[in-house]
Amino acid sequence: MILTIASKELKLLFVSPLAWTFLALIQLMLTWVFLGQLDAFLELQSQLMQIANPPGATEVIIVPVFAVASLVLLVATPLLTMRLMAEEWRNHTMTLLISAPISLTAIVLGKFLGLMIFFLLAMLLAVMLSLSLLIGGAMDLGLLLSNMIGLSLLAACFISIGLYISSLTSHPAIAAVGTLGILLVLWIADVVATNTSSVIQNFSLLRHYESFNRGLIDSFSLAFLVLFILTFLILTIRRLDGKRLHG
Amino acid sequence: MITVNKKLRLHLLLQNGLFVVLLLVLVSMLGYLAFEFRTQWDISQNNRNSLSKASLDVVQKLNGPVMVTVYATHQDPQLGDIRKIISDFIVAYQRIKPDLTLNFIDPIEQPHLAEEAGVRMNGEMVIAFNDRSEHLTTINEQTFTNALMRLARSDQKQLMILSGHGERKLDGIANRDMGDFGKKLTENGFRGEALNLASTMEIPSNTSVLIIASPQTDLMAGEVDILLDYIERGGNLLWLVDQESLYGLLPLAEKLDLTFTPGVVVDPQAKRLRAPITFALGTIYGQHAITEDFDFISVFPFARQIIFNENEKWQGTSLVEVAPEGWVETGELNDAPTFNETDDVAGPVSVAVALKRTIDEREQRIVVVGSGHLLANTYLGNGGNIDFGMNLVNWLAGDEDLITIQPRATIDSQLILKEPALTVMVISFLIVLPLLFLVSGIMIWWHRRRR
Repeated sequence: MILTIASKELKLLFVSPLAWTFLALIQLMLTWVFLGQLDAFLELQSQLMQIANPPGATEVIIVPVFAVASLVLLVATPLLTMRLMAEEWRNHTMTLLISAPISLTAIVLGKFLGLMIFFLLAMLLAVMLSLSLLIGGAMDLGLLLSNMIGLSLLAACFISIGLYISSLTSHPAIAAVGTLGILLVLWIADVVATNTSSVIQNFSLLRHYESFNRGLIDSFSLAFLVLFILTFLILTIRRLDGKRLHG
Repeated sequence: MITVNKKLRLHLLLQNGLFVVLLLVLVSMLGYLAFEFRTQWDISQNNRNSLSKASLDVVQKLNGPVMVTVYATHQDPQLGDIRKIISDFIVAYQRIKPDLTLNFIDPIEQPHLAEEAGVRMNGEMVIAFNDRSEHLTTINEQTFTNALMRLARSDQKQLMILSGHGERKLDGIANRDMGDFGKKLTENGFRGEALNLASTMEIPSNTSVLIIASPQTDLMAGEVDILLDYIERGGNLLWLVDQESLYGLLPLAEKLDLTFTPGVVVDPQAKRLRAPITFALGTIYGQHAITEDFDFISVFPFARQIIFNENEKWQGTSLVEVAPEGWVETGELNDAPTFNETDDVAGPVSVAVALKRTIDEREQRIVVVGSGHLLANTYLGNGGNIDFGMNLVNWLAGDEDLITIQPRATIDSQLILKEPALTVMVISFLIVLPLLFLVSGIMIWWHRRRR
C-alpha cells in the first residue's frame, strides 16, 4: 500500500514541470561547482603533491558538490512538500484519503517515500558526477559513500519536517514558508551558539551533516538524524489520526 | 454518533498534548543515550580524520587526563573561525582519549588569564598533563603528538650548567642571567643544576646536556681538560659564546673545529625595526630539526660570527644566518658603524652552529651560539628567542624518541583527464543532461495542456 501511494506521488511529481525544472537546475548547479573545483584541482595538483598530507581529488571536488547539493535540497524541500498534504486539504481530497480503508501510517510513509525517491534521483546526479572522476584516476569511495549516507539522511529530515508542517495547514504557501523558516533555523542553529560546548549546536543539521561530509560516521549524528525523521513522521501520523477522529 | 462537545474536545486536547510530551521525552532520552555513547568511524579511504599509528601509540601511553587550553579569539582575520579548526583537529585525539579536554579562552576578553599563561599569540595552545605544560603555536599532528610525548616523559632530563666563572645562572633574576629560560625548562621536564668543576672534578654521567653560558673569567687548564674529556666521551653541549675572549676555552673551539672571528655583527635591518643596530635578526634558518617549521624572528644581541670548518669528524649545520644586509664590524663600535671592505666581513653571517657525530652508537649533539644574550632575561622575550632556545635544548637533550609522522599517501592525489574527456564531461553534464530534463518537462506540460 505504501508503494502504491509512493508511486502515485512520484507520478504526480513527474507530470508537473516543477520536478523537471528542479532536476535541470540542480544538475546545472552541481556541474557548475563540480567543474569549478575540478579545474582548480587540475591546476593545483602539482603543488598539492608537495605539501604534507595533501587533500585528495575527492575531498577537493566532491565534498563541495555535496555541500551545495544539501543546500539546494533545503531550498527545494518546502516547494515540494507543501503540496504533499496542504494541497490535499485544500482540494478536500485528504478527507477522501484518510477515510479510505488505508492505514494512516501507510499514507504518511507513502508520501514520504515518494518524495524520498525523487530526492534520491537528484542525489544520483551528484553521484554520477562524482563517479565520472574515475575516468581520470582513483577516488576515495569511502568518502563518497559517507557523503551519500549523510545527504540521504538529511533529505529524509527535510521531507519529514516538511510533511509535518504541510499537514498542519491547508494553505500551501504557509506550509512552504513555515518549512523553509524552520529548516533554515535548524540549519544554522550553531551560528547563534557562541560557546563551542553549547547544547544548541547539537540541533544544527548542518553540523551533523558536516561530519558525514568529512567522511566521518558519527553515531550521535546518525542517531540524531534518524530520531529527527521518526519524530516528525510520528507527529504527522498523529496529526492525521486526530483529523480522522474529529474532522 | 459521538457528539463533539466542549468536554470531549478538552479531553482530546489533553490526550494529544500528553502524547506529544511523552514522545519528545522518549526521543530526548534516546538522543541523550546516543550522545553519551558516542563513537565515530572514519570510513574515508584516505583516513583523513584519523590519527596515524605513531600518534595512536603515544596517546594510548598517556595515563591520566590531558587538558588543552587554547587562547584564541572568536574570529581571526586570516583564518576565520580558528576555534572550529582547532576543535576539529582535537576531536581525532579525543576519539582515542576521552579524558582529553579542550577549553577555549578569548585572550581579548580575559587578558589576565592569557598573560598568566604566558601566551603571546592568537591561537596558542597550552597542553597540560600531570603538573607540566607545553605551549604550541603551530598545530599539526606531528607537533601535537610530540608535545604529548614530551609531557609523558616521566624522567626529568638533567641539565648541568657550568658555574664558578661568572656564567649566566639558570635560576638568576639579574638581567644577564637566564632565570626565565630556566623556568621554561623546568616546565618542560628538565632539571637544571649548577656544576662547579673546581669542587666536583667530574661531570656526572647522567647529564643530558652541559651548558656553558658566557664565562667571565678564565677556566683553569684542568677544568678545560674535564670538558674536553666530556666531549670526547660523547656528551651533549650547549655553548653560548659572547663577544669577548674565549676565557681559556680555545681548545674546546679547536676540538669542535670552529673558528670565532673577532668583531660584532651589525644589522641595518634591525635599525629599521627600531632596534639597536647590534641586534642581529635571525630570519634565515638552516635545514635542521631545531629550526624546522620555525617561522619567528629571533634576536641575537651583540652576536659574533661562528665558522664551522668542514671536517670528517663532525657533521655541522649553520642554524641561523643573520644580517643579510649587514656585516661583522671589526673596528670601533660607534653610533653609525660603516662597512670597511678590508677588515669587515659582509653578511649574511652564521651565528649559531649545530654539530653532531655518532659515537658509541648514539648521536652526540652540540650547539654553539655566538650570542649569550639570546637567552638572557633581558632579551628572552624578543621575537621567538624562547622557542628557539627550547628547540635547542630539546634537540640537545636527545629527544630521539620524538617521532616524525610520515605524511600519509592520498589515494586520489592524481587525476589525469585529457582534453577530449573533459569536453565530453562538460557537454554531457553541463548541457545535455539539463536540457534533457527541461525538454521532458516542457513536453509533459505541453502534452497535458493539449488534453
